Amino acid sequence: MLLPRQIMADPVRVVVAKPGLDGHDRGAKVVARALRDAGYEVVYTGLRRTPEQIVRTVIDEDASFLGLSSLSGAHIHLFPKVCKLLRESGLNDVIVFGGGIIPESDHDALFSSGIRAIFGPGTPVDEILAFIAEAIKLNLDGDIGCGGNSSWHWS
Amino acid sequence: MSIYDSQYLNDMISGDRIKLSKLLTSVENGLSLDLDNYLENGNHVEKWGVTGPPGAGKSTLVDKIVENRLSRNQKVAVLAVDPSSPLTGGALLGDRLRLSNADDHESVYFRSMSTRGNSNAIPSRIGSMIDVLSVAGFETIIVETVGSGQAEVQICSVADRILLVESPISGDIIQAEKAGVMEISDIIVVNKSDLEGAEQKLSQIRSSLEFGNSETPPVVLVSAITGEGISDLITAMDQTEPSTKSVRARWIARLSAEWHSSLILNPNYESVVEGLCNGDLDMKSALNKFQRWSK
Repeated sequence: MLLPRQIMADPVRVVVAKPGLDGHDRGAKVVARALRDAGYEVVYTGLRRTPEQIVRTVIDEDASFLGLSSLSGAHIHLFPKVCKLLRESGLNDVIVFGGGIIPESDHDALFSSGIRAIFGPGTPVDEILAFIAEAIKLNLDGDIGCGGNSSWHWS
Repeated sequence: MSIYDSQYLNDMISGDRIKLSKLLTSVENGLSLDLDNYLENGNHVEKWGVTGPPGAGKSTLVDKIVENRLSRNQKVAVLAVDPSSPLTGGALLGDRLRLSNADDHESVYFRSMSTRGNSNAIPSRIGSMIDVLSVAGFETIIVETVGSGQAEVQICSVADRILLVESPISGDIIQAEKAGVMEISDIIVVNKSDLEGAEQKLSQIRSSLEFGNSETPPVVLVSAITGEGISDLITAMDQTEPSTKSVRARWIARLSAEWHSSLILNPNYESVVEGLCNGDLDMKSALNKFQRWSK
């Protein structure tokens, strides 16, 4: 019934999202633009999304990466919630990274909730691109998705 | 479970959203599906193409149409197309943020798409993606185009009803006439009736239509932001049958979309482009290669 067809490497899709009550999206837009320029297909959600809406976007857009940006201080509540909802929806292989104003002391808690990288202000765009390239390489068996067993994170 | 498993399609038809998304990705990436057996009862699906210049308010208007379909308890899907970067092939897809209804309703499916370097405004795989959505039970399927260029006429290769969106700030009506989009439109919407110049735009379009000798489509004045005129638009949409006009234009567009699709999905496409770039091939021998393959 179905006929496969081999073509060139399929584009990687990334959702960049702004969870919660946070109106600062310059960073998210810079990252979205940089990813686009690097050849990724980037979907930007716009401001003030709930974790449920973000998960819905990741499902509909069939994204393999989700970038969460927060400058409001609510990351410690919102990021793990998004990861949990992704797992509950069966999206264990989606790779989640975060950015914004996130104190060093919160990093470990976020890493153990399923976030694989955290980028603060001033991060060179190339570092984010290097993370994504590395994550694609490592994730062949889905191990570093938000529901994967690996304890790997970008450092 | 593999996409090639028939249970996969059955799961998708019974509402598995993740399977639907993954199947759409595979189809977008070139998977060919034979869905004829599933499509037999798909004749009542309304396939709307929404086109018009950038900034005319297409996404906001689509949001209003989605709202109407939801109020009728219909399942509605939107495929929103944005251009890809000609340099890197990447794309920034931002139509979703204008859709207030996209993320909250089980009956709405919204998918952003890139033109993937296709110089035509309509990605070549979109027709097959519409078939998948029809099989998945969506009753209204809306394709929102990038809204630029004269290739917009191509929308009629995949949609059976065309809605052209203009606005008072969207430049000269001659642009639309030149592109030939007006000829294939089933409804013309003048959006942003809350702005100055909307009435003038409306009369420009009406008088320009009078010059033609074909049946003229309804022209509706709306404001997608305030909701003014939306009910008139919905009435006009309800009265629109799958278009029978411009039959020739439709078939030409369909043929050329298929042709284009088979070109860029050809396994040797990349190597021929490479050959042209580094001077190993001239245009004549490049074309010869494709002719040889098509036999």
